[in-house]
Amino acid sequence: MAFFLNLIIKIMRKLYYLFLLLISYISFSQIPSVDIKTLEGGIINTSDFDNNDGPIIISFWATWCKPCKQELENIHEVYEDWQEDTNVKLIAISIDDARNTSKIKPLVNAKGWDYEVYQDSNREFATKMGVNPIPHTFLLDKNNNIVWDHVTYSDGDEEKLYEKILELIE
Amino acid sequence: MNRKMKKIISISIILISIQLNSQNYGYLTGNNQFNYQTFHEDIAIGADARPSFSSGYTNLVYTYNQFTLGTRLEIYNNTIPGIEQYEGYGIANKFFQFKNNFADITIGNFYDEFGSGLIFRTYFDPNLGIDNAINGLRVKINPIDGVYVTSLIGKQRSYWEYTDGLIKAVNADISLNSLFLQSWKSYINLGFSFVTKHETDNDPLYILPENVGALNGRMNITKGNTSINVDYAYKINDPSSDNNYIYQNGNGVIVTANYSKKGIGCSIGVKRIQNMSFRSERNAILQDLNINYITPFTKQQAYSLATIYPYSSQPNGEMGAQIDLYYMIPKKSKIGGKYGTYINMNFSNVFSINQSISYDANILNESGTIGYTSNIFKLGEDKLFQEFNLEISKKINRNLKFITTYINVINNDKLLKSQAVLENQNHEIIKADIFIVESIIKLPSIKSMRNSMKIELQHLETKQHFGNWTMGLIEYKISKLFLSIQDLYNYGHPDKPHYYSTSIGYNNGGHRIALTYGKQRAGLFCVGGVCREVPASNGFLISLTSSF
Repeated sequence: MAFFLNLIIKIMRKLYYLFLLLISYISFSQIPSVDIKTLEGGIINTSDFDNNDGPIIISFWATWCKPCKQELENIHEVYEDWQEDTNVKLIAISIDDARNTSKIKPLVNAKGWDYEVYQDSNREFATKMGVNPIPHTFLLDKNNNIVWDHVTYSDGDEEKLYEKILELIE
Repeated sequence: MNRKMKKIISISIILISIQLNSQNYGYLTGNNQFNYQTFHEDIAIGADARPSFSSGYTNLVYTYNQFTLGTRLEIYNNTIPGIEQYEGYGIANKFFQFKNNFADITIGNFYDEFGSGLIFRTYFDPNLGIDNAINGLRVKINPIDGVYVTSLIGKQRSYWEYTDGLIKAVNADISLNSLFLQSWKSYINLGFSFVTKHETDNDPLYILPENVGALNGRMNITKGNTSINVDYAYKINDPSSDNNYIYQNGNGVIVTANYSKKGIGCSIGVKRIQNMSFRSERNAILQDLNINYITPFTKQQAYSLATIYPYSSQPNGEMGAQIDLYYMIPKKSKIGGKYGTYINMNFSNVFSINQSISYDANILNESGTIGYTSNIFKLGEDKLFQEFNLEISKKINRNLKFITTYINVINNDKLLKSQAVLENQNHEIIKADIFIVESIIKLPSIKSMRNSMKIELQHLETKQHFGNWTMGLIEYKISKLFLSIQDLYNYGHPDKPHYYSTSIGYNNGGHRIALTYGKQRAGLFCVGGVCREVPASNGFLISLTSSF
């Protein structure tokens, strides 16, 4: 146990320095370039995400994840207003695997979501974005730099996201 | 991993970050997960005292222009049954990747998936203890628009080592629209893969194939609101401990179709799998060394009582169908209410496959023979699983939402034998009805801090196995803090055990910490149809996840 604690402390210490060095840098991270799938089975590269100089929201979700669907549903209710006022675009990345692939499109359409939806079924994009539990939501500026991110969702969290979007377009 | 190496790695990481900081060269992302769990004896639920279990990992991915360098450090101490072989620590994953518009070359450990994974999928799931990454070389090229080719060679991770079996694979994905049908309104995407594994034959009794190949063809057509997807796989005979050493070729077919437009959606699918277990070692069992991924064709459940009788896929043989309907009763209609009412119906069933004794055998599945013959158009004798789900979700007003669910499940545990049974109990066919009401309540802000509450009531009714269950959960969130308390009460069980637990957690940006105290039932813990048995436990759990 003592050995183990020592090890943890050693590792934590190293990580801590690393974190310190990183913190000032984080806000400049760009999204990685990864090939992911369209709902039609085609391939698209994440570096091609584009919103004509407007901000982009990337939301990692899955058909079995209740808080994820709640987040997308609640944003859906205000999405038109958001788009009108800030020109924001939401890209929903499903990490569903083969079990639910064919359910994504009917679910999205039945709910009437007007988002761009892609599949990252083997989580390559998710891993490179540092995503572990979902929902995990990112806000990108017009140059696809990550300026804000948030894990988990509870009712009303979208208001915080909207504040960040407003700050960004000012 | 020796000391010197570790030093070099950490120094280089720090140097890289200094570099990053001063010149904005490249960027670093990653995530951490750390769990610490204590175990106390609890006779009422059959939990044993054990030394505290800790596990954790850190992923670091550094990208500089077209180059990516990635590592994952893993730590396991006092591992629990089922994942004991992970005990220890070290750099479990490292890779170097170069990627431009034409080529993507990876050296080291990598994960990939061809199509739906019927013949090839490697992935990492720390909760299940699965990491079947390949260590080797992968080259992906994109020679012309719409054509993607992947070829790879390497050995699979087996806990802290690599297997002897060598895997080689090629895959092509082709988009006909990008190739020459740009003006088409329909989309056609095709895929082909070939995977082979090599493993020496040292068997004293049988002459076993040292090279086992598998083929996969896929087609997806989307026209307007309709989409159809066909996935077929074939695998040459591969006697293994999974199939009791029979010389039978394997095959699998999955056909799904969906139709959807605004407000309504439907997805149907059929699936048949025959002898498709594919591992890089013949004797591997449980979740070890799978090369392919066979997913169950049933709904992925999230509520706790709905996960008591899960179905896990049967690579040796299964045949089933599934249908899902999604419907949004329009807003401002009589039944839809102000916000609309959402309905999701799901039905699935799975049968065994048809089998008759082959010419060279005396019994079904006799080792050293073809094993059986099968009529692919006939269902087997046994129903393995059936489930009906109905979910209705309705927002009453701005602050209140209800989700009600009814589930009817039939689990053939008599055959599957996946549930733990009492001393004087036999495995039997379990039929259960499950009722769930969930309400989400948005509360008025306190000093501009948002707060909300979730209440869940669940009931499971069955005459078999451990009888009835009831469950209650209250979760309260204020700003970045959450509190929850729940109890699962198995009042149909002779011992009437309670599984209560309480949690408190905090999350900020990409970071989350939670402390839970309570009891966890023994059972199958499943993610995506892959299951691991977990023992009953009573104790504290500290869980930390962080992304940066």
